[in-house]
Amino acid sequence: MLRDARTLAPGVELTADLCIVGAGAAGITLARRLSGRGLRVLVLESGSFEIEAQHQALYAGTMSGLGGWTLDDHRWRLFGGSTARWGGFCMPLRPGDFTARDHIPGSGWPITFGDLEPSYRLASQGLEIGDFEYDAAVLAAADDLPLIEGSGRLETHVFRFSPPTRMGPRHRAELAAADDVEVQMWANAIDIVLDDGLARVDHLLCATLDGARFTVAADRYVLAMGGLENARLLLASGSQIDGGVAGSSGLVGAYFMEHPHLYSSAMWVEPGALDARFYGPHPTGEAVAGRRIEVCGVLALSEETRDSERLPHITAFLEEAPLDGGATGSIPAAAVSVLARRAGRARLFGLTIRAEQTPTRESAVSLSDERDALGMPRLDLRWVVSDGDRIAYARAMEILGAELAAAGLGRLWTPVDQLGRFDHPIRPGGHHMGTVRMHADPARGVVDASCRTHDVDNLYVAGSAVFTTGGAANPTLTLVALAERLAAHLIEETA
Amino acid sequence: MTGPGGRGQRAEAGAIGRRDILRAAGGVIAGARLVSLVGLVGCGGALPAEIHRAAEVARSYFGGDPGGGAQTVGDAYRAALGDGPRLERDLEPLVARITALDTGDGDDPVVTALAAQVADELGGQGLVRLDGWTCAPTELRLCALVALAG
Repeated sequence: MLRDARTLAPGVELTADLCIVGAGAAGITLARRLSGRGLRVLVLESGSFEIEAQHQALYAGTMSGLGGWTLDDHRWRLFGGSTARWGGFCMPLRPGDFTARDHIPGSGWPITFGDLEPSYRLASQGLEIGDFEYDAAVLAAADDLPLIEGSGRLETHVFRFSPPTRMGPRHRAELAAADDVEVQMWANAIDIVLDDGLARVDHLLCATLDGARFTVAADRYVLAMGGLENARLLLASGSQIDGGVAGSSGLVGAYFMEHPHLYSSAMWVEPGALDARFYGPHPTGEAVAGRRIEVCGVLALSEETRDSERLPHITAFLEEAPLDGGATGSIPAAAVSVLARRAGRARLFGLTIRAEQTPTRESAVSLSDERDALGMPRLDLRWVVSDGDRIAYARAMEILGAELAAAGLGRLWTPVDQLGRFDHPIRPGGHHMGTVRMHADPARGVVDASCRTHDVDNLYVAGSAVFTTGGAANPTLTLVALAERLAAHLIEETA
Repeated sequence: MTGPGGRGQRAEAGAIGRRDILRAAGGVIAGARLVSLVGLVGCGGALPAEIHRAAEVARSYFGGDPGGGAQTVGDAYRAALGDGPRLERDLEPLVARITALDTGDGDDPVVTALAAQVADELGGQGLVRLDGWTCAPTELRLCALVALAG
């Protein structure tokens, strides 16, 4: 059922077994999975069915850290959430991404890859990406394409491409027809009100942009508002507890992570040095609903290399367009091509690198003094990428370059400053992670392994906000998998 | 989404100074006979025979350097180290190594051995980043020898 919250009677209380706040990738996945389970599910969606400026404006905030973007970039406030604009890149985190690594402080999820794998498979169905097959050797062999082989330090990882699935239009009719799912559109949760013991959510205070107020009382609540908004609502719900709800660890909003996008140039000597067909989006023999599944290889450093060199995870896309139109410092690529000791023409490719960001408490969102049209405090984002990470990125790229050179493929040009730090504007990927981080220890995380907040029994968080670390894979597949896993948990818990 | 990863976001090239060498491998060959290069640079006269021969091998390593790339890279490497004792100390072990390998059977065996040395370096720790390019130290020294010979 789809409803318009703007038509609710003032002060009305809506009730449900489960309230999901936010109808993006995580919220819709949860609602679909929980439908037909004997539960009354209520979904609150702030936006409309299309992107509208008045709803996007609720996302605006300030940036006090790394800039180059704004808080209403990269995320979309409407039914279907940011799947309205996503690029469809899907890759699971690697098993090693879940483990505690002593060179990545704050790493170590309380769940393993194996714990999440069944949910990854369900998420793969939801995102229409075909088989759960990410073995580059298998995929390359199936299409008779060569992989770039290094000396053992280099690996090829694989992205699969969703159509991309636009969750809103894709599932609108299904949810509209579901008797046990009620979607209240244009409904904003603006305060989480706890019971007298401060251990359970009693109700949510909600509002519409035209000023109406109502409440929602449910047995359980899931915040599925996005990597930044989940933290915002928790922080802003401070009427009963200083610092907001679920904040006993002091970590709500902290440990904001992105995937720093780094750009470099790689030079190959043509013709014949490189058959890079596997490293561009290309169709496989698989099909879903008549659509051929596309995959794309990316270069990465092996887990062993990352561990021995104490490096974060990176994945590198090859692109036809080189950095800055071919700028490579003072030594032209044509001259450097002599190092390849092959006759031919130097040709520049670009490398787009998604890097894992070491969780750091200083990288955080907090409430600003400004308020939005609903009276909610706006966010200030202080995105910090440490010098240690910048040095590690430079070293990772150095190894990547050495591997390409050793393989006789070419050379990598990487801008690095005098202190060994990667020295080029770092761009975001639009991947917002970590602000409601998952950790088994209530002092070191906000939610537990089941995505339940440590502080509040009946309050859960879905989405990339719970990521303990971000790996080097776009987050959508993992956040949908976590939503699938949370759905399974809620089904079991309410059975 | 992977949002702004498009080409349009790629602006503002990082300015990399010529002295952007982060890690130069020691590269000293144990037991090799070191050749004195003192006064090598700027002496205005002919190169010592061993240096001249090493430069010939270096040029062979790069297939004769028909496009002048080795010369260009070598000039940049020389500029980064500065023509003087530092460059001389840096080149000495390689010249000694080439001299030791050069048993009169032509350039090929020496070039093959140097290529293996470069490959080893690329798989190890002692890489050099010259103006942003990741290189093996030996290949940069070979370029410098080509550049010195002019």
